[in-house]
Amino acid sequence: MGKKVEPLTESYFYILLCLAEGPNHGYGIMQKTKELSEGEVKIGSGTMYGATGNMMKKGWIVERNDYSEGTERRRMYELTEEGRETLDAEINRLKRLLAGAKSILKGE
Amino acid sequence: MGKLKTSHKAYAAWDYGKEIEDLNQKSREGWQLVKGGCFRSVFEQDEQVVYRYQLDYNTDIENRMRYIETFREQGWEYMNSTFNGWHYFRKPYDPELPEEEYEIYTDSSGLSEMEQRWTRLATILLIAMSIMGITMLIKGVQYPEWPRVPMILLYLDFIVFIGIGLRRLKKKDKEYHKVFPLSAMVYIAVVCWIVGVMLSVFRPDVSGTIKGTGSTRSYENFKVSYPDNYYLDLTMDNEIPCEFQIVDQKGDIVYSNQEEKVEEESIQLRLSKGTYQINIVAEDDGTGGNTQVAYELN
Repeated sequence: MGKKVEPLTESYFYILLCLAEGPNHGYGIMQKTKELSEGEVKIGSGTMYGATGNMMKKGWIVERNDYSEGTERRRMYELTEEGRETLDAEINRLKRLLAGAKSILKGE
Repeated sequence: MGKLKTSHKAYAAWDYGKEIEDLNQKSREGWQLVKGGCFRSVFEQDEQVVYRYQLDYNTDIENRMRYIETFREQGWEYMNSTFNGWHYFRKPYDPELPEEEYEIYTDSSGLSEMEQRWTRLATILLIAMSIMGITMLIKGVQYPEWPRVPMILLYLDFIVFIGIGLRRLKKKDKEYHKVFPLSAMVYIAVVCWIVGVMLSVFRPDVSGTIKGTGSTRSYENFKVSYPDNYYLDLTMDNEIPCEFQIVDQKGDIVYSNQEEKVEEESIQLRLSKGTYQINIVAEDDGTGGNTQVAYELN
């Protein structure tokens, strides 16, 4: 077992998940999150700024500027190796929770 | 440009919800905030648009560009920031959009990050104020005097105000209460401060150093404006008999000291309203010795 990790909040989880398929900007993450959660999870600007700032400090994501799309510079976020590990650990934790629930509720 | 008007309405930090509500209401009435402030906000008349406002509290923005961009991405126009870390944002109101489009903190569990930041600051402030207040109270018990009372009340006013705010934030009590609003806290603080300063200003502040050889005489008058405890610091180093006296207007001796060597601080004297005189009398006993007296009374 690795080091003890705290469960991620929904926003943190979705931000990491959205970045797992490639770099994205804040608005893209927000949109994708909405889509993935079927409209249940919305990441507001205050939460987004705080979460991305924290994750950069922890080294889970890095900031990079993207110049490829036309001329407008966009601030993109990219998942790091460590971020990927954090996401995987969280997914394993969630799987364990679900497996536990399934084994208990199977008989009902 | 439309007509401008200024508002001086102030809100306590935990009433930021009420402030946002008031700004939104004003916007619907055709007054658009153009510059937000703690004590001064400017509105412009414009009935063509309706905005929704948001306030963010963040004193630790490591990248201002990223901060403003993150809000802009979701349609928030950055307006301005106050000196103490509040940031004003607005977004044109579209009745088609769901309410959640106008939220900036969306993590549902516990206090929002913004409230956590505010709680931290308020807790530090509360502890600091309590330590200072208690120190004042202990000094007040040791050396009771009237000017300390309003100053202790001033601390108590802050402590109760911040305490109530913290409690309401922790209980997630978002309702706006009129129980102990910011204005009441400020009024009490100002009154306490003025009373405290007045009481200090009207205290006598007399001091002197007398040095002499052989017989020496010195006196000084002072006025006491209100009955209270006053404190005397006295240092004497006399080679000949010398008396330090404080006499009231009837000639009664309030305090007397004839010792050769004295080094005392904060001798408590209970004085009523009136005029007093400090007398220092040294009598040469034939040796022609020196006299040295220093005093301070306030």
